[in-house]
Amino acid sequence: MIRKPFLERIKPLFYLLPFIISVSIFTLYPIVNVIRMSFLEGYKYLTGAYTGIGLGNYEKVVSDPFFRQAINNTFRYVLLVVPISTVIAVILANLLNQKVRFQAFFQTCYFLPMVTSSLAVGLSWRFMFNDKFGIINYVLSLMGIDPVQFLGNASGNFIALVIFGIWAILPNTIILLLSGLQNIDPLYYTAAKVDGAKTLRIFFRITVPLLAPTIMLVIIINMISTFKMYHELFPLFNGPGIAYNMFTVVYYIYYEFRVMTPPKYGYASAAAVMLLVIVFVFTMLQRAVQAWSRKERGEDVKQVKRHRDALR
Amino acid sequence: MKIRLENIVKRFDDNTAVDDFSAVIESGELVTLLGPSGCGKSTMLNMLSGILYPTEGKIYFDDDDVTYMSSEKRGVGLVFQNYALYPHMTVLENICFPLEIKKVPKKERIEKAKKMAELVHVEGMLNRKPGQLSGGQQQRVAIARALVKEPRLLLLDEPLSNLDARLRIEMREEIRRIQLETGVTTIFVTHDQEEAMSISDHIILMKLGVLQQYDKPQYLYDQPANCFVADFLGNPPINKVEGVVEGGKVLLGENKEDSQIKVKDVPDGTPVYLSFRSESVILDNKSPLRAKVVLTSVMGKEIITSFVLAGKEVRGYMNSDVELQRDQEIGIRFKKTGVFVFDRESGERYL
Amino acid sequence: MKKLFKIVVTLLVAISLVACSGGNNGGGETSGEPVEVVFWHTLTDHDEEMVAEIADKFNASQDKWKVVQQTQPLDGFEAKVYEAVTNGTGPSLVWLYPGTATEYVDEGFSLDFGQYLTDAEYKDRVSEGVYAASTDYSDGKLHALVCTLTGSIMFYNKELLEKYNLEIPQTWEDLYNACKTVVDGEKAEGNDIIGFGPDSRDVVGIDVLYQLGLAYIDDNNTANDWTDPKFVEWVDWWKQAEAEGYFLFKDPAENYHSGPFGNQMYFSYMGSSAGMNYITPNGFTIVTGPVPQIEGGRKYNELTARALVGFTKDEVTDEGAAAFASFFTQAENNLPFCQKYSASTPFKDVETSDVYKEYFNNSVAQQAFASMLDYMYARKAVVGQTACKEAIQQGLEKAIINGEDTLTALQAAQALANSALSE
Repeated sequence: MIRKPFLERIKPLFYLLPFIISVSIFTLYPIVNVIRMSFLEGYKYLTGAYTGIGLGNYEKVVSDPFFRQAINNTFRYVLLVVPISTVIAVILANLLNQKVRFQAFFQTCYFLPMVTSSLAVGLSWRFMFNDKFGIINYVLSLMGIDPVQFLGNASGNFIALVIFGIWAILPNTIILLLSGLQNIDPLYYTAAKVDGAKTLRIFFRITVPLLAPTIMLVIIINMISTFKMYHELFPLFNGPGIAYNMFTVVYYIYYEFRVMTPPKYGYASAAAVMLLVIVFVFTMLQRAVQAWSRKERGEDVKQVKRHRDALR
Repeated sequence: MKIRLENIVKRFDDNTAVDDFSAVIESGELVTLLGPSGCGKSTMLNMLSGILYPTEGKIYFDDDDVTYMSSEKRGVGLVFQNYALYPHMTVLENICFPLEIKKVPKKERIEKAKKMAELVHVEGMLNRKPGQLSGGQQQRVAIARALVKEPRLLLLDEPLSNLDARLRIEMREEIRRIQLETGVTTIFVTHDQEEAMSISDHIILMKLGVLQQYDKPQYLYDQPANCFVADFLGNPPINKVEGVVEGGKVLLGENKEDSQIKVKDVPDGTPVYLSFRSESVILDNKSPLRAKVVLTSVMGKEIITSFVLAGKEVRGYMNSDVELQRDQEIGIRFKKTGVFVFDRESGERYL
Repeated sequence: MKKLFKIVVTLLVAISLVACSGGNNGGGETSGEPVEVVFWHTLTDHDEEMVAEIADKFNASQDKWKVVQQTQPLDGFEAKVYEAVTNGTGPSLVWLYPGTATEYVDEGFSLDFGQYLTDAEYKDRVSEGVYAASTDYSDGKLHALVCTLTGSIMFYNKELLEKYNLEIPQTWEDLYNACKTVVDGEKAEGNDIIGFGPDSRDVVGIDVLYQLGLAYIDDNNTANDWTDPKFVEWVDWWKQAEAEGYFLFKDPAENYHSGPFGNQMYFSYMGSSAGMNYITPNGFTIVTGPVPQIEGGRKYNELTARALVGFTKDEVTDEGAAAFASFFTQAENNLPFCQKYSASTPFKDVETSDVYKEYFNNSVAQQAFASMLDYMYARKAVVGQTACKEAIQQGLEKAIINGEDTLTALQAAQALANSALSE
């Protein structure tokens, strides 16, 4: 083979240059800088001065009760919100995929949260969660259930957060699942119906397995976004819960960086890097499971690919 | 199982897909629903399977009125054009699925499924997924899945159209073999006349929702009920020359050449088609019916000659030792069989 | 296509040239254009209008500087200032506390007003204590101009006080008893009301620590007394009152109590005297009173001085910042500002004016504030003060709201504060 001249070979690089430069500046540099800051002890942003290099920030963050609480809360939140919202979304997406009357109306209802600001809607949720005047406690009281102190105590705070989180995450999830559902050939349903399969069996034996690639995708996306949860805290509680009990990892980063003066760049960066690692590990885990299940079905690579193309 | 269809009508909004369709399908036969696309054959199949219900009319399986019975209660097995095998299940799971729905115990299910797999010759790939099979293998699995619940009626919806030419021939023989081995009454939908001719006990030919003819394949070919049937069957397609009836004779073309074909009880001046099969033409230079050679081509062992008859180019197999030249004038006559006269407007057959 | 591309490029070059030359022209005429002095604050509504008015007046009075005042969100304001200032993109003036300057003085960011102001402009007009607070830095220079004095006071619903024939409470016990009477009485009439709640939970903790003869942050810059049995006992006492439903340490629905208090959801609350103008009493009259004390203890209430703190930029801008700061603190501006802000003035010349006296005598908030002046002290300014404030608040909230063991919660809080102080 004849080698192309040097200039020819590096020509593509020039075309890629604008992209490479913008990615380097806006994506790589901040990440690298955060990682760097996380190892600098007593770092001062302006002067660039620091007292030492090491794991001091990490030690400090790991031993910080707020950070431990944040990890605990975040994991509990992810482990509750992601599965529950996925299950609800799969069911709702299926209902929305049926040809029912007022389909457009129902679809609008479920997608409305996506076009509204979650901060603004969060405020109305706060009124709904109100211990005394909120509609949720009113409904509970009608059913003879004691009022839940959604805003007034720690366990109530967590329940409120999970409910709000599920609500906020549903529309996106439903849209992704709907597009997955619409990719399933209706012939499979006809075939099953001719054989006499009932709705539930069709749902569990055919719809769910065929939707599995999309469900996996949705779980990954939602896990990443729920791991980064923090802005929901502001409309609901004006901060980390009623009594510093609703720290999440990203709120902890915000807290060290924005509430504390002087800002604790090092701690915030160390926490950010740890979150990055956690999310990365979970995403890799997910991908491994996905690859394994894809291998299990072997041939399905084609279908998964079609799915992905459709989602793009 | 014998199937009786009585005056079936199916309308979608203003559109009539099947119109006044009546037929009796004898037990154990393989009957093909044949017709061009849009003729209502798939609608008919869907009504037989219970996916659709007729607007009017009755469907009987033996003596049961199943007109409005749901699919699963009818006991029909359905094979789809693109097989509709569940991609996430193995071959075995796919075949087992109808039994799983019927709540057959697992052990029995697998036993039956394996037997079925043997019947269709896929016993060696039970643990594969559909995506790892060839088209023909998928087809076999689809048939096994349809047959495993021992249906009273097997329905095949254009099952061969996704296969390449060679596989198509192999599979249609397989389908015939499986059908004969199981003896299940089978209805096969296709638009391919050759397929229909080769596989069926009887063919139902449809056009625009109306049954045209219901007969044995050869009879359909030899004795078409009308112009449409004659046009639809046969390869090469039947030759058609315009003519007019005068004094019981069929005169061809503008020059009213005498075709030597006679019809009875047809009023003078009726516009007709003289349709004849390519094999029904004989070279006879003594014949007063003259034609002009356009082209001869050798197709395998046969020689096919194109010639102009009464201003229309037609084709015929002429087993002649004489080498025909372009523009050479020849005389022709027709055999007794394979020659028909149809009304040009109604398609009604006069001869 | 190529031609079009050339035209576009030519156009772009032409536009940028014109834009650049325009920019150069603007930059060249320094003598004509006033220099911008940026002023950040967190004041809103009528307070912001007042600031805008003063800034406009200043801008009209001379043409060397132009003050640009900007309201910033309260959440994370101090951190935002810190980041902007250390990045060199910060404002010239901020509306904060004298203590705020502490963190900037050593780094050399903090503006020394003394360079530009004469004694007559500031030093001679304020009390020794206020001047001491304005110069309490490692270099002893004037880094803050105190503009207002405020502090926590008590707000009561007058109708309820009179209905149950109650005196204005002086001690925490008094407050508890009054709340008990009112809440129980109202409950009997089917009226759900909360007895008492504080706006600033850190102030409650700090006040009580000092009232008990203890220290929030002692002279060695450490927090030692938060776990003192006396303080633990007092927190437990509050927990009891909270459990009984008379006190509510933190309102889950509101940041400030002015709203719910105005809607008669509270019988009383403790909040800044500057909050007075934010209450709209809905069918009742407001009475004010001093912050409750520990019976037989040392009298103490926190004094909040709000001040202008400056940051150095360049010669001209610094001079403008100082000029505006001085302008802002002059009697003709400080007086209306104090009225709007519902604050007391630190300036003697303002204090003695008739208008101020009239305002003062008509303001129940100012009277309650003034009644405590003898025992009001500003919070100690230390590096790590934000963390300490967060820590005490967190310790109290965990003990009272989350019901955690008081001593454990306070120990954790104290440890947190000390680790911040030792940095």
